[in-house]
Amino acid sequence: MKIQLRHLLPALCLLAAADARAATWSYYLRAGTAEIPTGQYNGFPALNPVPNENVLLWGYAQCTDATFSTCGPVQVPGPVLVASEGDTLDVSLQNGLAAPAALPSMISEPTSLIIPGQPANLTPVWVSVTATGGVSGVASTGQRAGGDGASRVRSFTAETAIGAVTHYTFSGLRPGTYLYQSGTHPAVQLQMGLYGALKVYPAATPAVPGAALPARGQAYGDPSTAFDSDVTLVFSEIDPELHYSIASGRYGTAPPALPAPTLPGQRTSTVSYRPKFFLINGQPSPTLQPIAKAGQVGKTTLLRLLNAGLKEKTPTLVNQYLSVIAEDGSPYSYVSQGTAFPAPRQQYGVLLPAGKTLDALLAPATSGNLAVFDRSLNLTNAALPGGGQLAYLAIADAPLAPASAAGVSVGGGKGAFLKPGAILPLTWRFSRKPLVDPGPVRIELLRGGRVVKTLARAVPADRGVFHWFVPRSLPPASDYTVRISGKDLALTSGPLRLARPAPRPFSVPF
Amino acid sequence: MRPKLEGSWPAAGLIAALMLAATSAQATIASDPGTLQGTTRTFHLTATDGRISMGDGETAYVWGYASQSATPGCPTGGCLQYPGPTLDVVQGERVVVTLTNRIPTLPGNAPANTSLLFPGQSATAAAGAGVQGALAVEARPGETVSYSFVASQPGTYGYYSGTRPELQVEMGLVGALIVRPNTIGQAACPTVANPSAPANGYAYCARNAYYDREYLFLFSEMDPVFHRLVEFGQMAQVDDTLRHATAWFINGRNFPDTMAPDFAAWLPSQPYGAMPMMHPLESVLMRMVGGGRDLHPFHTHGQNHLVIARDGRLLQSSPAAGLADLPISDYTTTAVPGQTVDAIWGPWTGQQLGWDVYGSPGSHACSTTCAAPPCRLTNLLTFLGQTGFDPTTGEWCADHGRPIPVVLPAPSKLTFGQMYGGSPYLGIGGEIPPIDPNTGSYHSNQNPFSGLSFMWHSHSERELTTNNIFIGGLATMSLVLPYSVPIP
Repeated sequence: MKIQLRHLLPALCLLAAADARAATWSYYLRAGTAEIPTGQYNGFPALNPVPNENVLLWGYAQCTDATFSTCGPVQVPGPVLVASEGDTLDVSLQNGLAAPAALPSMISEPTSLIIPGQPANLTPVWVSVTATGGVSGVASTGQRAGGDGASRVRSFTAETAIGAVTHYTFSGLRPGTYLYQSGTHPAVQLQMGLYGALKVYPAATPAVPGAALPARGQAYGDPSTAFDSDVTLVFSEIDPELHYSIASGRYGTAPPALPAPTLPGQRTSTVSYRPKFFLINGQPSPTLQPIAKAGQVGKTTLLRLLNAGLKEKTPTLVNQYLSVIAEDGSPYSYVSQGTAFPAPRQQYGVLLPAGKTLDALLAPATSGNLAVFDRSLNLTNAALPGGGQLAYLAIADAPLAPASAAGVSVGGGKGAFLKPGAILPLTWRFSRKPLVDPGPVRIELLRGGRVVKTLARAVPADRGVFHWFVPRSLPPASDYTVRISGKDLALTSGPLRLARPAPRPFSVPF
Repeated sequence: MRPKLEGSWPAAGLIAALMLAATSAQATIASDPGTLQGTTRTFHLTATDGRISMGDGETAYVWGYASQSATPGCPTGGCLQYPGPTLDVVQGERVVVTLTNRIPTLPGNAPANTSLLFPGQSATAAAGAGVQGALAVEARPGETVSYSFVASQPGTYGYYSGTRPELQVEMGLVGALIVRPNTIGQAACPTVANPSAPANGYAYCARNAYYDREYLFLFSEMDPVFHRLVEFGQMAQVDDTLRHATAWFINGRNFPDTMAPDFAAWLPSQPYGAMPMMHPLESVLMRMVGGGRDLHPFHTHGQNHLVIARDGRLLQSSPAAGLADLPISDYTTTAVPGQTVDAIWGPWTGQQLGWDVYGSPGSHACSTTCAAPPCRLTNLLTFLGQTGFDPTTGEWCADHGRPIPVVLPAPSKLTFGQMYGGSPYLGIGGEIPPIDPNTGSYHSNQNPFSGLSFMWHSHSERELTTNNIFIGGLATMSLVLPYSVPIP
């Protein structure tokens, strides 16, 4: 018994501590309708089954509080939700999917919210089947009654009726990247736009409610997943005919008798799903603007890739590798002698099936616009080429480009040798204006990686040169380096060698 | 009594391939070595148009790459091929690929720029020519653009058009790139003398990246309707979202053409075969390239294959591991668009069959030691750390003399597939009815040396058709052949 207690007690303490820290992240989302004007998707008018008709979307609007009186616009994908590991996510969802005045025939449905991969108590909703194969009304909720093999599930969890509000709560959150989405009639509601991304920061680098997000952090609680900035790319598609079927109230009605063809805008199901528009973060190329501040040379960007569409995608980079670290919120790892180690995968392209999330680290090698495109080649907007799932990541230059490969060039024509008693120019330069002003830089002499002397405390960064008088007393060594550092900046020279001490005509210590 | 075997054309083709190899100094994967000057290897590619033969007897209009390099099937160079030439380079070399755009602008079509992407490489286009496109610098019609990169890491890669790729890759502008390690002979990748497979080697300098033979599997698919629209000057009618592939390819061929030899004369635009052949105890490197835009679950009958690398990078815990220490053993590997996978199928040992693969006793001996030098498998067995096999025939001696535990019905009671060699045993033929009325002999087959055949194919079964004709599409046969038969 004692042994068991000794094992139990620390665990209980940890739990208590975790409970004390756990915060609740409250979000207020309203599921609503929006119409994307003609021309929003490049080439739309020619391909719409009903020319000049808008595309009806269902999406989420973020509201400020439980009154749902102040809300942002309905957006697809929905707002990016943020929380931290172990915390509670409480999403208040208002169903605003009533038919708008302009679309009196629009099909109106209850909705709900689920997050695959996050713990939650689900209460499925079952509907009964009529003799003719249709459905009529809710038969039961929760566990399906024993012996009932006929009723069908309509919702994976409790529904929110038109106009009503429901709390969807997820506690003990797992870190990583997740897709939140409608859990009701998902074949239609996902396609209509009810999805978004959730980022859960690990406890090691948590986000705190009400505070700014951590400037840099870890994707998962492991230093190998550290990143300096992150970019969320949500892939999805639109089949405008299905949207028109919903908008016109024709979805799900019986098909006309053969041989009459199915009318445009009359989809009886998603079986004949045929998307025309292929979106990243709700926009196709070329409407999609380069994603600003996506990364910086010398820094690490976390790419959070999510597929809210119904078809697989293959996000692929040109001329760069990704280090794929996790899938569906589970870090890749291997176990050796009972210990788990990270096992990132080096790939230039990744398979992103429907509903999947992937996390990948990107260390940009060059600045400029870095293309991410779907190698499954959904690169059109309907029939028009030059569109679809192509995004550019705007990669900034390193704040200071080193003047030599070593980071700091050592002037004086003596290469990497230090000559005691001589003046040695240390030079560095900007190749482009840095994003972050590094401020005055500090210049230090290191030996074996440890600082042995500060040479200057505040040299203007754009001066680009510092003349160092190499002390005569500097002992010989082959592992000197010079470091120049400032805000978001650390440059180190190559090894500098001092072969022999200078003759000492004076015994004046420096 | 062994009946006389008459060669049907596929068998004749196979034999022709074997003879071709006998004259070749260095037998290896059919590829384009370009021209090497110093440490720079240069390829001259032209994007142009032509036709390919489909397994259903139809032909398709394609765009493809033509290399200046001469090949056994194109002694003058400059022949369009699908897929494009397999660029074969050595790690550390600077690779220069010039691309000349000779895609004709057929009446009714808009002019097409074109370009090259080399995923996994840091390719740059030479300044002074071309125009910047969405993904790469593009060559306008008639123009030449030069791309270059340093092949810094070994592995299997692909290349393809970066201009309107949803159409141009579909039309045929895709190929493979092989980067061979420059470190063979180091401790992690010691050379292995195998007299039966002198072109053996390593995909990467890693012990489990060893192969005796290597084969390319570039997977792709086509919607022939798009090809007709382009051919008939109706390119503007191509709606990519209506694509419906009806033909599936390995190395640009549908089954059964996949089994025809490299540079088969009757497939002038499709020079690359895809029929893996090996002897017992040999390992086959499968260089798989997702060339199309759909997923293809490639399934190897016979045994699992060991996936050692993806996108030209070993599956390993760290580069210091020295081998692919996180490999995946699978019997189906999904070919992902644009992605490459290296896998080792083998060695095929026959060890767990429980019967003598070479047939009933009397026809051959089995000794686990070298009874009659030279024993060509001694080095390979040492490298594999295997014992219990005959170092000349590769037979698993523990099962020597055991008959197959099945009573075979009389030949008159059976029907025979094309790959049945006439008996269940390796290298032993037999009667294959019916009698051919033209020759009076028993029918031959596509397996004249009575190898053990295993089908390797897409397990998305609809891809086993060509334009709705079964069996076609993304399939081939692998053959384990007796040591008496040389393999190209």
